[in-house]
Amino acid sequence: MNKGMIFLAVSIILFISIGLATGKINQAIDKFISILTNIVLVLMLIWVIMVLTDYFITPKEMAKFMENNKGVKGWVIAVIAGLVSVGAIYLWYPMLSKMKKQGITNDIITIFLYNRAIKLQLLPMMLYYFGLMYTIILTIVMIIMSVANGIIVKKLLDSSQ
Amino acid sequence: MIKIDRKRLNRAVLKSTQQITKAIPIILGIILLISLAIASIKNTDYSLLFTKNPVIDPLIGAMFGSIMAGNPVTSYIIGGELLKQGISLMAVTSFIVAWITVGTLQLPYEMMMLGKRFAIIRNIIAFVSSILVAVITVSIMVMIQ
Repeated sequence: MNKGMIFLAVSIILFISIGLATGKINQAIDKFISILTNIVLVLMLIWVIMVLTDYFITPKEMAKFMENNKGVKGWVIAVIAGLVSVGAIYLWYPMLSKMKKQGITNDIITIFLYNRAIKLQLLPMMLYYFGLMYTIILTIVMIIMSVANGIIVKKLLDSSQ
Repeated sequence: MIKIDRKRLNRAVLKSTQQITKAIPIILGIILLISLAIASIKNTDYSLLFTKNPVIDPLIGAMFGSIMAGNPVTSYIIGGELLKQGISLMAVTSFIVAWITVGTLQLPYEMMMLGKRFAIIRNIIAFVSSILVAVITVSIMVMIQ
């Protein structure tokens, strides 16, 4: 049994045992179906992007692209890609894993993942709860912090190798 | 007109399908855990965790946000409720930022896909950052107002 199947088996056991113990199993099943229904399309979109990436960009081309977009330019690309990307964060791991093997650096992946947290389509909801000033300041601070995160993670990983 | 290289396309489809298929058991496991957490914890239960201490609460907010997962909208709703109940903006901010940037539930998956060291270091840095983001954001708010 591979790691993925073991994780799924443990999750099912936890889901059933905790769900039954707390009496929330029915609500949890409803939520599970609701989330699953929502992400099916996103998963399909991600699959299409992966196919297109694979078709149009070979590892060699990707390595060359990353080489040409290191530093500030690479960070800006990672910030924009993170901001506009859709779907839950864990849906993107397979693609990021592939890109990492193709030469993308740890700072770029970190910046991308951090900016995935800022969802432009959800900003109206934040505006409603916290106001315009708070939303603008938090968004700007998070974008700047994403670059700091990328630099620190890369430095720590590089220094430990 | 783009000329399609069928051999290259088939290879791309096969590789991408294999990667997505490999990820599906983990994705299903994560959704199960997230569904359970959302169903088991009421929005009003969250306020019981805070002390209303301005120093400790941001740390509690970040810790609590780190172990939660789900749509960011849920964190905004809970954050809004916590503010109404007198929890500090700094604590609420660290809670929201940790919720959306730290992924404890999906850590095993991140470790598997992107490497153990990368995933652990990234999440620790994101956790510390959630408190820093809260301090900086609220400080700027105070200075402006």
